[in-house]
Amino acid sequence: MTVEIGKLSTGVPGLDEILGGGLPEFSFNILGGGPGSGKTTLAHQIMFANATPEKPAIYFTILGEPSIKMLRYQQQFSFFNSEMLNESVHFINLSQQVLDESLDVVMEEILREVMAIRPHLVVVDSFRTVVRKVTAGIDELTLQSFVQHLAVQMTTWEATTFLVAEYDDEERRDNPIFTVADGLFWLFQQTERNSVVRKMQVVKLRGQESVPGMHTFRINNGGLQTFPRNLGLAGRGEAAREAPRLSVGIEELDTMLGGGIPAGDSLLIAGPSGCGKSLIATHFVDAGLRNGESAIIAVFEERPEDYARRADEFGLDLSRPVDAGKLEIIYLRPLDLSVDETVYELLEAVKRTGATRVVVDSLAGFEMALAPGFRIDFREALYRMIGALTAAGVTVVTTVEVAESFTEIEFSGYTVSFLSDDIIRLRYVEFDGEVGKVMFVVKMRGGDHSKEIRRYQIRPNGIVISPEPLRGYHGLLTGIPKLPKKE
Amino acid sequence: MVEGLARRVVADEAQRIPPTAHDADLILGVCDKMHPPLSRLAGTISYRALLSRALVLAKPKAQTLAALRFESDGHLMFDPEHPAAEFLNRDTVRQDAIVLVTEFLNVLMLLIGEGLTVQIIRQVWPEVKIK
Repeated sequence: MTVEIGKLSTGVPGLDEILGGGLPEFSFNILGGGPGSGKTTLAHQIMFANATPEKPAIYFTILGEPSIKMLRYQQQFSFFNSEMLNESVHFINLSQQVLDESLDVVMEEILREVMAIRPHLVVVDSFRTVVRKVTAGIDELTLQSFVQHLAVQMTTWEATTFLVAEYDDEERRDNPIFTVADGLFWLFQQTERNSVVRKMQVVKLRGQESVPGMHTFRINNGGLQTFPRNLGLAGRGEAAREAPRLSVGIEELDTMLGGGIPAGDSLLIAGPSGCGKSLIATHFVDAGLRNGESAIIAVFEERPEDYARRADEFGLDLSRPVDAGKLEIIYLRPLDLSVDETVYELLEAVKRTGATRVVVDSLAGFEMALAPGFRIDFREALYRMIGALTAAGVTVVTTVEVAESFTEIEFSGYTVSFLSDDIIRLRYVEFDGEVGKVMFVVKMRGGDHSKEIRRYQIRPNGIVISPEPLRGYHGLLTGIPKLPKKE
Repeated sequence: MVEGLARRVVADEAQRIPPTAHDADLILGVCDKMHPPLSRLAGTISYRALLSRALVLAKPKAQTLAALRFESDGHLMFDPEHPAAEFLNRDTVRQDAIVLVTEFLNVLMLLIGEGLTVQIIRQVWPEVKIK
């Protein structure tokens, strides 16, 4: 018979997934990071999520952040419940013992409280203060022995334990204390140009498989919210061979696509500014709504009400579906977004509404909304976002602006066309001294499609595509076509 | 609300003080009872800092409080040699205790919030009605 290790839910959205199902029960953990990285908040959040009168928690405070201030600030979070104090949650200050006494006395005091309260969760904050006793005359071996003694005692008393400590990167290496710990969780606050991004790493976790790598997180009124870096990518299944086709809402375009967009595909609409990319995407959403489906539009460059008003000018009513809960227009532009956060927002919206269609308008706006550090890996970001969304079973339409060139044809400035199953290209073309617009389907991964180049117009009722292809021209793709001289 | 709570705390404490006790024991008793839970929660330094602030705020409104001072261990003591001590009697002590406890509770509520403050009061004086 093997020992079965129970798992505690952390109460932190996303963190249980990162940890591989939750915190190992009775584990001895170190929660490290620089000042302001969110260690204390995380410890409080986990404690309030788990403490009950039957399974109480003790939070030992030792110098570090003054307790009065810590309590004052932690109460601002919605997880802090003062009704739980003294019955489920016990705050105990040990500053004086650490200042005046030896580590043995500190240990005795901790054990005395643990034996009296029988906690299932213990936090020591800041453990760094205890470590500093080393520099004040206690040798490293004594400290290591103290930590080992504490770890054994806490596990024996069936308490899951956190030592909260400030450590810089240098101290993470070859630190004997870390050998004792079952879990090592590191929080970072990275400044990237003008934005700050919070990240978390599970450096070590005994007994279970955690998700490796750096996971971004945010701290809001509810405390920490983590965004696992594999969010939505797990369990991506094979697309159905014969997926039903979804109408784009423009009959001629459906025909060009070979009957519409295969459900579960990602379609990229590429074209220069003002050529109607967003309008086609809006047609796509409108068609779904008319069909009784729900949809999500992620906008980055304009406010949802402006987006809806612009659609309304073309007779496409987005406001009513928004009011009816069938459509969510999500505005994402904090300039320090992480990819995972964006994916999380979209997946949550999909879950909320049961959406089958998602529009991301546009990729340039999405890139701008990301913190600078994430822009470097923008292609990976797109891969993850599109992968997560299509894995959720939705059909995704993205728009991307390309600079118009009259010497070559680009599909996007991001070389992301390989990520999309289907691509529609729009472009300006000169006809008889006037600027006209043409569109053509570049790629349909799921099957055959029209190879025709069609002229189209933006009319008061939206996109109107010419029923006939442009015939007789040469060089349409250059933007300056020629009609061969008649013999 | 705070002054009413302070009145009930002082009244509760007054019942427990033996008739032979010194007049100042009512004030000292209330403060001493707050010492363990506050020190346990936030440390002796915090307890002393909070009570000092309350004393400073209360002194202009209660003459006899000027005779109070802190001992090195953080406990409050009454200095019978202080000129203000002569004004202390059974009539003044109760009112002055209410003034000090009101300020103490005000400081606590401001810094750690009503919820935590009420928890401490419940812990020390379980029979006192909060509202």
